Amino acid sequence: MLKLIDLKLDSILVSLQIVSKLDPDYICIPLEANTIINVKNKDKVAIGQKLTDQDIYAPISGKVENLELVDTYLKKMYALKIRNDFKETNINTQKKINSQKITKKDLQETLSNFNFAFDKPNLIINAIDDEYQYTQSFYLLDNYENILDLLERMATLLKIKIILALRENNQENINNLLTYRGMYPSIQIKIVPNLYLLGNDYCLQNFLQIEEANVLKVSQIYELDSYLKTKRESRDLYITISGNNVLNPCVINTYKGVSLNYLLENIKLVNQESDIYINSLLQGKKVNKDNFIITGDVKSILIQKKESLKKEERCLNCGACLNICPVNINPLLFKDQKYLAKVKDKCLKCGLCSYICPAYINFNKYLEEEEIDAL
Amino acid sequence: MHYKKEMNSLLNSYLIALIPLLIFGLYKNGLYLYINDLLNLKNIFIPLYFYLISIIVALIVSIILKENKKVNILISLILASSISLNTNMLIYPILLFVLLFISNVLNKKINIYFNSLSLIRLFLILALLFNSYSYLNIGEKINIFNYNLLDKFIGFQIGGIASSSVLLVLLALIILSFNKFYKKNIAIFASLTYFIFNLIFNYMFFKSLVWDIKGTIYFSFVFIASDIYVSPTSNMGMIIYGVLIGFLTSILGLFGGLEAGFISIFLSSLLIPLINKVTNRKYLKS
Repeated sequence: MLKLIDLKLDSILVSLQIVSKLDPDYICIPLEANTIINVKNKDKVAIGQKLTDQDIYAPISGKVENLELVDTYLKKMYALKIRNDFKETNINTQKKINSQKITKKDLQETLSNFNFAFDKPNLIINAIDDEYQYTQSFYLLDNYENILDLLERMATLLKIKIILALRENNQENINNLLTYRGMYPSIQIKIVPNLYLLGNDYCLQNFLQIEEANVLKVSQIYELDSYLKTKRESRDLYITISGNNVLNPCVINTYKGVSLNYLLENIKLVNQESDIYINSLLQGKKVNKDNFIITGDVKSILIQKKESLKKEERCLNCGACLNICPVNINPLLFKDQKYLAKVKDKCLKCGLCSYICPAYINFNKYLEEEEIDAL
Repeated sequence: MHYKKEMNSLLNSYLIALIPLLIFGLYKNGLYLYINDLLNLKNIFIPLYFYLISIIVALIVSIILKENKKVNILISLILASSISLNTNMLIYPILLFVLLFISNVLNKKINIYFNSLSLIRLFLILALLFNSYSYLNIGEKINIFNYNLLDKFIGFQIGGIASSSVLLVLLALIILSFNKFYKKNIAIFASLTYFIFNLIFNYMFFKSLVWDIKGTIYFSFVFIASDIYVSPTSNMGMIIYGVLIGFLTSILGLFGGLEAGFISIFLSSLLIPLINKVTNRKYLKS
């Protein structure tokens, strides 16, 4: 059994009203190395137009500009910049299909396209957010019927059992699900306690003690739904903006590829000086808002009051880090490159070792990598 | 984001746990003797002198080496509590300065894998040897008090300046145990093992079932064995380390002396890398 803890976080009330930020001046689409670009500088593109040899489509209509080196959550990357003409020209004339018309073949093909493992008789849907994130909850809240329709269809076509896991304090979604329970007989609801790390798929599966199961997040089901209906990746995503320096925490619906500066426009702050963390304080990292581009990996933005970082002290050998580690890794051995290489994949990057360390040792630094992909 | 407690909270816990012992030391070796007309007014401040001079030495070393003042003050106060009242008042600060200085420099330069606090404490016997090797205060020397077992448990017995009270050491253990980072397993298992084996060995060699309640030995388990830097990291390692210290102390204790605890802690600490290696196997396999 995993060791899960209650972090006893101060609750941040996020408005249930989702804020739409869908009118950026430009969008940057980060590209992996060796990507062949199908468009040239100053070309006009329409929404849904294929931009590269890979499945990358224009999320807005506008004019192509030069490649730019940008910061993303994982690494520095070159990105294709499209200046928005706000004309919303769309090349996709196909109508969205209904969930009931999705065939088994379509579903299986899409699942393999997305590299979603799907070989077990149970599917756990993780609708749990860790720390100050509310994104999974809001994917469900805002797309409730689409997601449940698709899950019900998946259960019928693939003959699997679906378990939807929600946190006990997620009252809005629990109420919705209980109201419409009869409409989705194949979906079983599991309500789990408010413990840290249940948002992690591995930990959730372990907690539910369902060995024969694949786990997907609600956001992944949203992506799947979008792809099945439009035959391309969804262009939007949900991001929580919160933190102790934000006056009105909220969830924003925006496009992938917008700049962090654009997202933070009109966000009222308590103090002007702030630190920005992407994807929570424990698991995420501090970033500089200039030149940062939002990608699919970004789930939340935390704006904290600026604090001077505590100086690392000499290790006390107290063993708190290795005793708290949910997967029995010894962070005290991270300096040993061989050990680090061995455990890097096993590490959940939950940040609990750094959280508990009385000497303020930042163990995350051993796990971080910075790469720049060259095209 | 960080857990609400950190290193400073542990140091505070140590200091809070030490205060009742320091006060009792002042009473037992000063005021109590003065009330019984065994000391003149001037000499009731001898324990206070050792506390203050230790704090001053710790501050000087910390300022010179730019080290954590609180850590050094804590170390010095623990040492001052465990030394004899008969320690030479001039040699002690000099020796403490030299030993604390060397220990800080070594800690900065290399990773020390032995319990330096116990070693410093053993070296401090030199300051005692300049007078006469004795832990007795004036009242105990002339043996005018007839202490019973309860008095001894409270602290009226032979021991260091502020480390003779088993009751207050137990209270300190309780205070420290509330701190997540305090290695209580070491102190608890060392104390239990020592208590049991001490009874067994006393019966085996002296045919008596005398409960040995030397406060200074339990003090060394609670304050020195659970060293914040040098001690095993896993729970099992702490238990093994504690049992080893308790067992060694009960053997060395047969030869008398209040240094058995410090010697055992020093010797056992030499085995910490081995204990860590054995007990951290599950982490190494990851």
